[in-house]
Amino acid sequence: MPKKTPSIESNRSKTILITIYLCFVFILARLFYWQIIKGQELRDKATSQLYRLEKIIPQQGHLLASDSFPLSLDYTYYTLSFYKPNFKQELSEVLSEIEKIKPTFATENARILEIYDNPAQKWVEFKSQFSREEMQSLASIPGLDFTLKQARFYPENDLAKNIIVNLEKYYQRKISGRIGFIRSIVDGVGENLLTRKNWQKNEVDGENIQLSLNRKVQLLAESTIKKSIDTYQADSASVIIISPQSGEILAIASAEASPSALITKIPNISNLFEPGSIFKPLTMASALDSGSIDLDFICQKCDQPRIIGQYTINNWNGEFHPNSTLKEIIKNSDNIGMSYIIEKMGQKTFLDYFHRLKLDQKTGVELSGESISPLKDYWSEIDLATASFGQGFAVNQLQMIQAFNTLANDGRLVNLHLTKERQAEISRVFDMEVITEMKDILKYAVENSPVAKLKAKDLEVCAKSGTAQVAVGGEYTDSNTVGSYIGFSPCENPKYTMIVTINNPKTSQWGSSTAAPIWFEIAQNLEFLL
Amino acid sequence: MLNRILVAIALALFVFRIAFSLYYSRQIVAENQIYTELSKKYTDLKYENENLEINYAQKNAVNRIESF
Repeated sequence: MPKKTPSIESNRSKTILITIYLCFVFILARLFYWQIIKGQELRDKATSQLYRLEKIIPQQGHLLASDSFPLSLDYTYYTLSFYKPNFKQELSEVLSEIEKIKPTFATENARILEIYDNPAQKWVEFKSQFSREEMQSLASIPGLDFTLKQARFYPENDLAKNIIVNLEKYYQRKISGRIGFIRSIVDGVGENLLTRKNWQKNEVDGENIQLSLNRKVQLLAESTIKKSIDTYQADSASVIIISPQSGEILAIASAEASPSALITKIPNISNLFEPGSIFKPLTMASALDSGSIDLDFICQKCDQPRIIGQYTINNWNGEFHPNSTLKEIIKNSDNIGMSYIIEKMGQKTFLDYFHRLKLDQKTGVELSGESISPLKDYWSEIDLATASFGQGFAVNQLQMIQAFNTLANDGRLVNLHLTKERQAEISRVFDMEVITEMKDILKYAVENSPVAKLKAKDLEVCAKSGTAQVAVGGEYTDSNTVGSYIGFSPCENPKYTMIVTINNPKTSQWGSSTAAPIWFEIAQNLEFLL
Repeated sequence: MLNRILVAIALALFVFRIAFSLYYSRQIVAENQIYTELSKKYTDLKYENENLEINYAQKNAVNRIESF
């Protein structure tokens, strides 16, 4: 055998050495690729498999009625999804399993099942809601996936629904609470492991909010006002009932012949109206309190219409009442008498009381959507005269009852509110002496007017009716009116103050024939509830 | 002599490490089980409480009353 030459051996060892070097370089290159280039991505992937970040959903707060009954609650349910690649049974078999629990499942979700038939569609979610027990009995079927969800539940159904939804929006932050997080290490099957590396930020549950709304009074108000729409063929009607001393709103309801699609709309605060004659007691109290007129005021010029420039002020029924006293002016709802009273008071004093009664500002109630009308800058003689009987300016229903309530609350204006936690702000507007006289006048007016027959014998009421014409195209018409009735009962230490307004009633245009019967019907039942 | 002492300490530490691991890993597993069970119990009770609240509210709602 020929002996290998040293050069051949040297070449062979060089080749082996180069191959080893190349392999080494290749390994280094791969290591560089996995550890440097792909390193961060792989580290992130490993961390995401090792750690799990979970949200802790807080318990939402509830709105509670005055008796602490929940007006809103939460309930948990599950929605079902199909994931085709995980299916191990035929769709029909899976559906029959589901229909053992939910017989209407296929019919409820017919459209979604049609979409699922498309071979390209791998995943669908159904709208049916499953309870926890139902979920647990179906969870073992491969391909079925359940998602936990929460929804709001309103035990009183539609009762004060717009108020509750509006309040939930107003107090959203307080009710929702704060979401918590858990970052923990998980084992191979995805269960949390207790380790010192776990990190948790606790959730903060939402707060409950105690309202002043009385469920029974609210139900009474809502049912009566709904019924009145048909009875008086009106476009809409509203009512507010409050506690005179604390300013707590006990019920706030409205009904419309064609209900608004906006669920959070509250006509009691968003709709403005000219108050009409229900404003007269406030004008009179302001005049008495400012000393512009005395208790023995007599209207000597009330025997004829009053002419101011090109305008004529007349009474609602065209009748005149010469030498009327204050009691008779309110009883007869005398526009002419009121125009002379405001003349004695003057614009400055009138606007000062208007401001003190907070009729030029929002009530600040805990609801969104309150409207107010800005007062005009220039007041002519006729503007002032018509303002005395509540025409020529607009307020919302809540502003009006807040102002009128000063007569019930011994001359003190108390801010109206819906939540128990809000402290009432109280400011004095009228002297006690004026209030005593005004109560006497209002009581006399009720007992000596046609509305007295609506009143139960033992019911003591201090109230005033009003009918305001609605300006259409810049002119007042008799065909479109707002009837209203406002008052409190009993006259001393009243238990409630209530306002009822009815828009465009077709059966009668007068507040005394439409709003007053509604007021007394509610008042009659309130005796048993408050 | 010093070497023997060092070996003995090393062995003792090794044995202690194993015993410590065995003891506390069993503890951790037991605690974990309790935690998982309590979590499940909490979820069950929360769900039951929610149902009871809803049942109570439905039974005592005034809006079911037709008239006064």
